[in-house]
Amino acid sequence: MAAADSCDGISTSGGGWEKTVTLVSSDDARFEVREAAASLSQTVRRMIRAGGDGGIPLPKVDARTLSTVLEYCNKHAAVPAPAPESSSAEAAAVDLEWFDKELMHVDLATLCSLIRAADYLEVAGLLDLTCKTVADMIKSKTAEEIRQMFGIQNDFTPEEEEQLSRENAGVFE
Amino acid sequence: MSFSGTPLDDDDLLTQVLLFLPSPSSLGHASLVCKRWHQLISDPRFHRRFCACHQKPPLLGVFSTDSICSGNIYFTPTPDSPDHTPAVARLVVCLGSGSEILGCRHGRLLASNWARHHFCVWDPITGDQRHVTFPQAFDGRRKVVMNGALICVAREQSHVHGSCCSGPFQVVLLGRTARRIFACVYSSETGAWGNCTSILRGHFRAVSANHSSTRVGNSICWLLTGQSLAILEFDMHLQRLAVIEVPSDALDPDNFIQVSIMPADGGGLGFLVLSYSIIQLWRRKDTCDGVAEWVLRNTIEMSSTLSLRPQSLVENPPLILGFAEEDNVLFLFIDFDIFMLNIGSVKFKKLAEDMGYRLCHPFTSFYIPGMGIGSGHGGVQIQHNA
Repeated sequence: MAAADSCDGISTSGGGWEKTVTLVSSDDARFEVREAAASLSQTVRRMIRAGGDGGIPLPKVDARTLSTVLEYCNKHAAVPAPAPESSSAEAAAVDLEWFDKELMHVDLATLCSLIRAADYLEVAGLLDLTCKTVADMIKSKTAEEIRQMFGIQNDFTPEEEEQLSRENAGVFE
Repeated sequence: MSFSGTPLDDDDLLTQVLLFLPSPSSLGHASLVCKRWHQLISDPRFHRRFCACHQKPPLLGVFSTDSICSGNIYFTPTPDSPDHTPAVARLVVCLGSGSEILGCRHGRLLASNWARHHFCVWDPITGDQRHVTFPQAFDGRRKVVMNGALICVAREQSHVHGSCCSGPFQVVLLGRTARRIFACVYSSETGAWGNCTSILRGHFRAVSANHSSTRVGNSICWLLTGQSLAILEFDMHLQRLAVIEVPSDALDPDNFIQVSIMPADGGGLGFLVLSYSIIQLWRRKDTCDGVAEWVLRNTIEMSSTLSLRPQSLVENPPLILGFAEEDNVLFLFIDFDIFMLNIGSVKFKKLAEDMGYRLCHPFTSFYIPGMGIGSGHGGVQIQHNA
């Protein structure tokens, strides 16, 4: 298949040449990204293969969210694969872990947008990271606190709720 | 085009988030959020995925009896046990007087009822109880049943032990005559006992009633007692019994010694020798000439970790109450309290105070709210709107 028109190239710091693609957000912002990084998104990877003009449109992701997604992709695609169990592999893993942690310092609304985007763009690593972050946020919360966080309506009847609470509360005590 | 609502409105994404909750217990609160969340968490498919995601079920606590053969079984949760496990009252099911716990494995408990000549296989999470009658030959006259062990034999690649409730299992019966020790395997799939295999009994009197079986790789091991100690190994694949000597340090007549069979660090057979405040960890290793020997791998001095005077451990030597084979946790009776010692991290946690001496049978399981607990039926029924 012919190379997509949306693919260009940039020179790398090492003097090499790396292929890039242009991604277009829902609010028409254009992002030029290394193809290797953009390809962490299975959705984008498929669109690159399919080819197209004037950049790859991503109508479900706004510029703000897309820039965070691309920050993730750039970082994760940049990491070379050193020999497993070597000290550099360990250092790279620690660095990535730190980066991921910092990236997740966002408010709930942003986190939700990132989950949606990671799901739509099929960036598996980012989807896991964001879902795990939400799981960490709710793991020690009560049902009512979780409802408030996500604006969920309690649709149990009082009888059902009482019965369920009894079922769940009576712990080996 | 844009998204509306939160990603948790999408069942796939909500599932993805819930799978990352750290333990089955945290699903408890989540299942109370609304009917949709409850329905999703109660779905057996979610349960399977959760188990596959987490791989190892948490150590929920220990089962014990107050006195031998009383039939009353008590549960004591571990200090960091999920706060959504079933009430003890419901867990004290009537296994019948004359019942004795032989051990727990893969989310089930095995008890024997000597008077009624059967084993009881009990899943405390679902409440499912099955009786497996001893083979006819083991009538207490010709052949006597000594002990037993339970193992899950689910073969699906996706199966994770700890959620074995409906999966097939095998019970290994150990019996004896005056001269020989026998092993016989019951399969829940065929509903029948297989052929017996046996080995000479030698000077060994019985299998220690103070130790549950330990699974090491494909083998189930028991402690043989008599004039001396030894390990009785039953290879599940080869269906063969073998007697293995214990490290000579475990036989020191001048010391007060407690022992436990354990899987060694990195696999293989291990053996733990506790003498007052010192724990020795041994590993069975093949030498180059093909003969196996015991190698001392590690020594742990407990008194410093426990902030106890070594002298107090000499006056009241700690007693081994049980061993959690999958968690590498030893249960110890020290100064009338029960402690858990993680052998890997050498960290102690107090399980219970003033409970008195009682054997501990560690229980691990994926308990997920909504599955129906200890009651033998499906738990709370919620009307889910279409």
